[in-house]
Amino acid sequence: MTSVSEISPADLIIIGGGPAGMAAAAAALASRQAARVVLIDGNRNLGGQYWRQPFDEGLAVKTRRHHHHLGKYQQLKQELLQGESDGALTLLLGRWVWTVTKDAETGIFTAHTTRGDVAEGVQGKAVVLAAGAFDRQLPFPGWDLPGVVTAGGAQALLKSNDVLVGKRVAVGGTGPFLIAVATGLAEAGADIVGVHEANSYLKWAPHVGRLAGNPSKLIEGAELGFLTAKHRIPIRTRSAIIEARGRERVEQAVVARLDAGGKVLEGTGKVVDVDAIAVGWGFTAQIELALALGAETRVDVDGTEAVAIDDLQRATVDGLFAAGETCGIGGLELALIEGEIAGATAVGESETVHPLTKRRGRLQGFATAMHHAHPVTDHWESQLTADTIICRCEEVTFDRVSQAGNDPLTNDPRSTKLVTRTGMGWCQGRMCGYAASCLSTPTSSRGTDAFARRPVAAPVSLGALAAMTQWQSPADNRESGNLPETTDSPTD
Amino acid sequence: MTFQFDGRDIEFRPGQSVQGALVAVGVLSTRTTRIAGAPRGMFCGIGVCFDCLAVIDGQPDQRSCLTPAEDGMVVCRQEGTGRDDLGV
Repeated sequence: MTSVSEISPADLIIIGGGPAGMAAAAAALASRQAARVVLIDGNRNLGGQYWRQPFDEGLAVKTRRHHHHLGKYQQLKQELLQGESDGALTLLLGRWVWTVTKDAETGIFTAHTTRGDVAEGVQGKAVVLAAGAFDRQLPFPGWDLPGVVTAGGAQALLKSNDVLVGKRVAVGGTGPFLIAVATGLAEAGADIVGVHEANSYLKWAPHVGRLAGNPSKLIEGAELGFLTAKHRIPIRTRSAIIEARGRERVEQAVVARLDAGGKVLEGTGKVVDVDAIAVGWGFTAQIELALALGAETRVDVDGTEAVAIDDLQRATVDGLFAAGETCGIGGLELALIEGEIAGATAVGESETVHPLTKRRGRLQGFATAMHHAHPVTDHWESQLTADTIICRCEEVTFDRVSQAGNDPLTNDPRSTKLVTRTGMGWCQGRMCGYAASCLSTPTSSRGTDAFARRPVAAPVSLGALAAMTQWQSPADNRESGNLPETTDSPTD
Repeated sequence: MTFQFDGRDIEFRPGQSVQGALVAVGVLSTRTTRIAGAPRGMFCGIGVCFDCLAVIDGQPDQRSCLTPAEDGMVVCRQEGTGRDDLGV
């Protein structure tokens, strides 16, 4: 194992270079603690998904128009680059962390990374996990056709490639994110044939107070409203895309109205010509690395399992922090605040109550309201036909999954996985996990994604593993002088 | 700048991924599935779904959304696991 950090162990390892990770790094650098920080991200550029960048600076100029709050991105990036040239920050980009271990004796963390066929390890005294999230998906007939993409994917294609996924796009699922995606696509020149929101915006009514406490959200809402009107985007509530049709690619979307309980209303189905469909049902937090360390999690209001943290962003494992979507879906502003709190606390800026605590509370309140207003609707599975693909990677159809779900011997997610191969493919259940969990348990509980435990969080080649000639041991670290002073006499 | 996709020249802008350049010219599918031979292509766009796999410069299982397009690259549609040459 090659340690890429010349100063090992670092004071802080930040996993994830999106908004939360960047804010954590900036806070750590700005602290009075003169901390040595390492930030690791799988992409070649900082920004995560929210500020997803093209591979080339020249193209980045063109994609600016697809972004929001880029000024904040530039400011944070400047601070990080300054820290890098000062020698306080090491940026390890293009490296994917596939697991994190913690030495039981020394408490030192090792982030195991993979970059092509090269496996490396980075050591640190503390870790901020800011691994973000990805769109949650629900299967529907034809969702595996080329041209059907995730809502986040349609946005990512714009932000990192300046490319539209299609010219006539139907958007569906639930959540304000759909409007953000639709308006972004429209501004880029697409014709949005409709945004199909499964819930009704009236569900916000009990939470109006949260809106008042978050003026920035009101402004955002007004902006989206303006753009929706400008492009005459039809927003249909209690509506869903129930089928994608086409031969080699999607050519039509079937949309239908839902009743208040989420059931498809008979006779309301309409066929619409499209060349792309973008769908999203909220987000799934990426928590594998926290689980690998044994940290506790909690199920948030939206059914997403997230890392459990306290008021200072501390997880239940000593030295582990989490910030951003990883510890609860809540958007950009919340991620930035959580990152700042986590970064400062992780390098030893000790405060019992961080000054940003109140603002974080208001933003969390908003996020909770949003989750209450946009749940995954009941009866989504009633649209599935026997041959609807549930597990995309392993091509497992609904009839096989529901068979396992109805059999008392296999009606739990793990058994269903073992007998049908659902969740065993390349994506390891990231796309199908939530749906498969719902379908494989006897009560149609909304539950949560039971497939989140992935010992290998990113693909690692056998060659890379074999090349790890030295497994970390306390004895090795002592010899190379990489340990802080300890009075205990260690035993191996 | 161009790369080849199944023998066809694909023009791209520097900084685009193989996937981005292909979608830009209307190529939505880069692989067919192992069992049904069904076409698949871009889905999540960020590297977590593995539906965008293609054989790139001879290497199968490459996520085209995470691979920067390069001049002269040879990209081929992946059939199944892309390892038919192993005969297993």
